[in-house]
Amino acid sequence: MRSILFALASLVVAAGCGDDDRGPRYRAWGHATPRPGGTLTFAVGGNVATLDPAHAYDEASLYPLYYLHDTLLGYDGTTLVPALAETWSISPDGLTISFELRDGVVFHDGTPLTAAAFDHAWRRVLRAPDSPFGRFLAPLVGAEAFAAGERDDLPGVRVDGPRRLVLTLAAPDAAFANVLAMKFTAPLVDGAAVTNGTGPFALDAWSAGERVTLRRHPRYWRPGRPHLDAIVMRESVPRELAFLQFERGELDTIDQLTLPDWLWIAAHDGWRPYVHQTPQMSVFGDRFDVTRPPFDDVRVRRALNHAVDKARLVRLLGDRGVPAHGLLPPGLAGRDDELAPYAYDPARARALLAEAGHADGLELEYVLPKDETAERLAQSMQADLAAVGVRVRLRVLSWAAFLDETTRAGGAPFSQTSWFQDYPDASSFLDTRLHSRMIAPDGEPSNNDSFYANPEVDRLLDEARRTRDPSARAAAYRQVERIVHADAPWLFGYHPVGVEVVQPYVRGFALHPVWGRDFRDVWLDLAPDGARVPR
Amino acid sequence: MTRAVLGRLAGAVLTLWFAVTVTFAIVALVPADPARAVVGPHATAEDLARVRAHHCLDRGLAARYGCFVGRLARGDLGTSLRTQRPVADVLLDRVGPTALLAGAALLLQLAIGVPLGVWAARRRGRWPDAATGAATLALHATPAFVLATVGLYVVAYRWGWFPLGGYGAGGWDRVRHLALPAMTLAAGGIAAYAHLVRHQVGGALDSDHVRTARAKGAPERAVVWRHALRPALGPVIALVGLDAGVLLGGAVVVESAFAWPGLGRELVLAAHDLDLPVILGGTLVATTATVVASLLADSAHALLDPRARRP
Amino acid sequence: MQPRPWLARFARDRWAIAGVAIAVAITAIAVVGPAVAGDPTRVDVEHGLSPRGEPLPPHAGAVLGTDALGRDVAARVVHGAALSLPIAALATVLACALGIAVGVAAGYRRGWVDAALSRLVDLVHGLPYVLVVILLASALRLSALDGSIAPVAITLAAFGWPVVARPIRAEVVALRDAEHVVAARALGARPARVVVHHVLPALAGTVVVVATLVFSAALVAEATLSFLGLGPPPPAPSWGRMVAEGQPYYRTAPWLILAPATAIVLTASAFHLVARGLRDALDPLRAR
Repeated sequence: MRSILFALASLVVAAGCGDDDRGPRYRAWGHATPRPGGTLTFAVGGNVATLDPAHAYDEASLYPLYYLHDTLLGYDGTTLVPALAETWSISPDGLTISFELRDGVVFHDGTPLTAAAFDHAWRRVLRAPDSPFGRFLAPLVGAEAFAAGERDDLPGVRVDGPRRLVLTLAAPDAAFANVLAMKFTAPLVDGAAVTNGTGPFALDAWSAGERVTLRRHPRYWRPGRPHLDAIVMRESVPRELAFLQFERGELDTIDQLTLPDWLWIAAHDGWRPYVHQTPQMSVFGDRFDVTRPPFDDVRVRRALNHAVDKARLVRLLGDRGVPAHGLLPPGLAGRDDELAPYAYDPARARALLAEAGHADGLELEYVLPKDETAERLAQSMQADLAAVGVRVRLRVLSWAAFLDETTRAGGAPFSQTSWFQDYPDASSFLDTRLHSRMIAPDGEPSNNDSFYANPEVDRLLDEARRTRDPSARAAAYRQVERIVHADAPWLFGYHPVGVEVVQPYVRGFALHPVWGRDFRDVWLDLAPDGARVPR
Repeated sequence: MTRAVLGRLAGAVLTLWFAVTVTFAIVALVPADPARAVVGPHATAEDLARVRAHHCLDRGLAARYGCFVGRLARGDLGTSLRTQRPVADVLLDRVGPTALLAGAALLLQLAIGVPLGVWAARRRGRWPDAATGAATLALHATPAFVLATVGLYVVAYRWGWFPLGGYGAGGWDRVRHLALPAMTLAAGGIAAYAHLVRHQVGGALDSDHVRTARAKGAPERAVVWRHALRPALGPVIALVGLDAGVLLGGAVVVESAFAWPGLGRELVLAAHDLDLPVILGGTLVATTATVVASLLADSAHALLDPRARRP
Repeated sequence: MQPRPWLARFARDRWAIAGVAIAVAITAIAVVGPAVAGDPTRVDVEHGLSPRGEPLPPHAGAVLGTDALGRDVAARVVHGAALSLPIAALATVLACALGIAVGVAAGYRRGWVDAALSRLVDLVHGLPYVLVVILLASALRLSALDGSIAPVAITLAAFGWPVVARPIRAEVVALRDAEHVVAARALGARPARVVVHHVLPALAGTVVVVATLVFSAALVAEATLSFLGLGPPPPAPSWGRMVAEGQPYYRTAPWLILAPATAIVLTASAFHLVARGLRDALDPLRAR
């Protein structure tokens, strides 16, 4: 019986390999300078919910917005630079930000850009029911009263002629300018479609649930850009299917490979030059409700941090991750790079647990969302914790139930968690997830779902938020990092490394440290007649 | 006659009401509040309150039921929690692809399953019979997503016979994209039809009127297709009527695997997000489809077999 | 003693006997296997994966290979039998209990009870099956039952019982006018007594056939539920969960799907064959 099974299995293995083992099917033609034209096709696993910048907050819905809409500011690396603004300046008291708009910018429908288009878009966001973005504009004078309908003017936004925009903040906020690079702040023409933007590509068609097609904006403000004629984004393509499409050449680029597909790519030298990797501005881990036993004891929290082998977690990601010592990802100002992740030390973990009165072990319940990676890592963690006498029961919930169960006081005290930057600033991680201000009253969902309240951390965060001097801010955040590391309100996990594999003829591509995959400068190195060149 | 029609209509309405109520009751069982998932992490307490009020989530069970079902009864499907789009629009976008997929699968089932069953019946006890029996078994016992994976990898990718998922651009391209998902969706049903026809025809071949037809010297082909298949039509039509629900269910997995933009996939997403308006709207559409299918099957049955007509 | 005719017919059906043999073997594995096979949840990233981190193909140390976490697939398949079979069995028992109760009540009482219950059967049958299954399974996930095999079994039974109720009702309607039942009634036996002593025993054949069909359908349905993330929670090695977890590896480590899927197909087919054999043996006219 055993040998029959063995033979059967080997047969299947043999059938499974074979002519899969090859590198890219196409090569670059070899143009020295960017060749204009062509269509770039890629796929996303999610479903585009909306193309309205006031509502798009999930990954799939945000992708098209990168190309449809430009904003006042953009990023060079992680540094803010003017985009639709020609110049910008902040007053010495940090309360007033003025922008001179670029000349010659037109919307896709031909309307010239004016300062009023920003005012219109922001009022719209503030009054839109169900918009997830209203709070980002709250620092503007009068914004909250306007949103609540208590007043109909918005004194924090002053339109000073067609090309000058002056913003007034109620209090100094060093991180606020980042908000002006978020896509929901993009200018809109009153009465025109919400997809009518100033970005490099205009909406050609959206067949909901199937694909979004974008075509080149001929009057885009950056000279010579974009190179591509069109971008096609396929929606709701399962990751395994997307990989087959990519390997066959139907897709020009792919990210979020499943672990086996990634290991397969990584094993082939032929693909190596076309693999791009960069740490993402996000953090994954597990949060404790620090107000509930046994997690109200810092020794238990530290013990669990010592008990989990983070190097192995990263290995189970196919090395697409960096172990975390706290919340701030590598490359972010204010991260304390001298801190090391909790060492994998089961003996130490046992000792700490015994000290906390749990020498006989613990029974815990751990909640995670339905996700292949989360389930894989949770099972590894479960095995690690079992080795130090902590028995963990896993509960997998659908996304809506997971969020509800894990963000309110009295919900699950131990669960998977993650945070993606809204903008590349330490405050987007630390203020949002660990400031006591983010604990909602009355059992409402809280972003500080550890219910971690440390007055010293609050004070440092508030101070850093007001301070304009970058090095003083970074010092304050480093101090927070050290306190948070010691207090361990999370079981710190890892920072994912984003991986993108492109076809050899996709040129000018780089993973953006803030936005990840970014095709705005991409061009296709195809034969002069536009055909792809087989290898 | 009018009474019969009215009776059927009342039955259909009852079926729809029951489906919506059961679905509502199950979702109401879930103690989770979808508001957080809707408004995102940066919502204020007022935002949450507004969303809950808008979707009647802040009310008691009875009031919520009245709110949702009352709205449905007035023909208002509401708006999706997840996308803020009118549910009617969402469903309208999705019904077409699913109807196309399910219709194609049904045709394939009949076009392949019935001849296969006849073939097996004429060779009872010999290998074609055993082979269709074994295939029936295997297909019944294979999860649809495994079938879809194998189809995509082997047939579409390795052999290159079909596109790798997607909806296609219309016309011939749409047909090419439709073929493989339709085959996958049809697989289980082909086996079921073959099995059914094999038994019906098998029995009929031994019956007196077939023997009489043979004795009269009718060619074998005519005997089989005209006389022996006749009694199988009733059960086949009945199976078609029941099949609508099965096909819609199978569409959930097949649409996800093949990136086919249909109703099944949308409803799975809605179920995960507790998007009650979309769930209820989808229930209404799916149940209507099964009701209509069974009405059509009954009418076809009545046309073919006068005995089935009631006074 | 002369063997009963149906038993003799059954014994002549080679396919059915093969089915019985496989079913018995697999049940034996489910009962004895877990004590013999290794630990199905032992994660071994250091030795159970290739240097690059891939699952290992079948080899001497793990005859069916290892999975994404370096666990022994063979041990998981064996332990999976002890999980998947009870899930399917519990679903079958629940569905049959409800289906028989409704079918007997409707068929025996006739009149408005029959009308109401038959209507209920039609209504449940008219529900969009997969959607309500997904919803109920997710709802039970948030209940106290989570973590046991109950949510999957309850979900499958809650919408699977009409399949049992329909043939039972038809059978009871016919039985009701059978001579021995009429006689019992004429002698003044109470309905409950008539049902228990004269109707239920006569149903045994139909029940066994339908139950085996429900059982094999439940095995496959568990896999689909697991694929949708609604099966037993990890690290439970239920066959359905294993197939679903192995799905991304279909190209590079096909044994992850093949081993549990074979187990499902084999078991479901075996029970299906038994059901078919029983039906043919009990109803020889239909078998031609």
